[in-house]
Amino acid sequence: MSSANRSKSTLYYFFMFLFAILLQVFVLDHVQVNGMFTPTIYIVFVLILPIEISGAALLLLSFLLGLSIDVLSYTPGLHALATVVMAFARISLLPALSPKGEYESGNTLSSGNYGWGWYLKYSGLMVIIHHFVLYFAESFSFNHFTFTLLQMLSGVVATMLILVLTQVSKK
Amino acid sequence: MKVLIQFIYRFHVQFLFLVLVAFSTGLLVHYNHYQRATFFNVYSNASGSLRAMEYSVVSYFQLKKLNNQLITENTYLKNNLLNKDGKDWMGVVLHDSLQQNEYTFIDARVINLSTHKKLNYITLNKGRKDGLDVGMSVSSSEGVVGIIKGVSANYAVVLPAINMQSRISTKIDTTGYFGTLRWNGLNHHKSKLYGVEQNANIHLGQKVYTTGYGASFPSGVLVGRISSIKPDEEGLFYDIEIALATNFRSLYVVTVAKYSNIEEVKEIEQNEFSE
Repeated sequence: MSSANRSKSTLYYFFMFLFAILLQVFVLDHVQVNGMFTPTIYIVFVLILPIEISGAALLLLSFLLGLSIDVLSYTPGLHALATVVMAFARISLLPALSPKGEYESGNTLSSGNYGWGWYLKYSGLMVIIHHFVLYFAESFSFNHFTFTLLQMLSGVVATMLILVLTQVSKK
Repeated sequence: MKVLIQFIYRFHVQFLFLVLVAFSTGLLVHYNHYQRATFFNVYSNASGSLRAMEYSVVSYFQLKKLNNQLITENTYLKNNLLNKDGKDWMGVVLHDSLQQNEYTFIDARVINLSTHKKLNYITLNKGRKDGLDVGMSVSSSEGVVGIIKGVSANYAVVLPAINMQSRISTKIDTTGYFGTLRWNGLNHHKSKLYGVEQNANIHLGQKVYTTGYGASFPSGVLVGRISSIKPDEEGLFYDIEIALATNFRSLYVVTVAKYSNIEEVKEIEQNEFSE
């Protein structure tokens, strides 16, 4: 538990970056039920970046992450766009969701440090923003609005499920 | 000047955000509206080698299905061979221009594919080295798969019939009616046929084949069967749904058709159009 509280090294984030991409492309992209419930877990990297990271670094790292997924899944610009929008939202979202004891620099942004209520709000909003941009930019129009919305919501459910699992497994 | 620099510094995060959004939207729009192959040529190499590693592990689990597919195809080919060896019933060799091979076929394996996106793609384990090139058609033992959109030395990326950008010229059985097959992004077992007028005499269950126009698909490759016919809103055309012959979820082996005289066709078409 104590290790989860301390801030992580740059090397740790580098490996998380690679791991998130490989897990997404090789495992989770193949998960689906009739085209629904595909988890998009690579964004966990943006969620766990330390609280004290600069806005510019956050945006650039998110862009790189999205672009890497794009290259591997032949979707030029799609994931990059969704991830950058989500990262930009994080800049104002984190202060707005500020927990009782305020954020402590050096603490990881996890349910262990700030509680489940806070974590679900934080990750839930981030995932919804990301998936909204992703699914509607992918269909490139509002045709089949309900279908795309359904696909998006099922994706949100699947992603949240895995995000919660990452939190539980830490304990 | 100092004020400007201060201003830019103060809002540098917002500016960066706008630049990154503009850049990714640019990529998205560019590759959506213009079906250019550059992105796919460059990245099919990087992505292809990773996918080949994945395939070398996963392929073991598909061997049984793969075998069945090959047996079916073998039987089909043997049946066809009997009629197409260029000899008449007494064994005399006929010199008929119809017997000339318009297409040569190259087999390839699927090393990656998706079916649940709007823009699905398929990666093949062969590329330019094996004679594959952009524009060639890809089919399976079941039916139509798609058209090659990008190639690198060792890999190729296919734009399948279940990609919203795909357009395939088709004809309905022996009726002589033509239509364009275009996927609506919903279900990978179904697609839509556009451009068939409402006075057309068609019925459910009729088979739909490729026309062979455009020299990418050979004529007569099975696309699917008509599964629903409705008049469309404007009252001119039918809204036709096709049950696709190819099951994209279990696609392992495909055949790439290379039109033998493609250079000649392109050349003559270019000359005609430029005059």
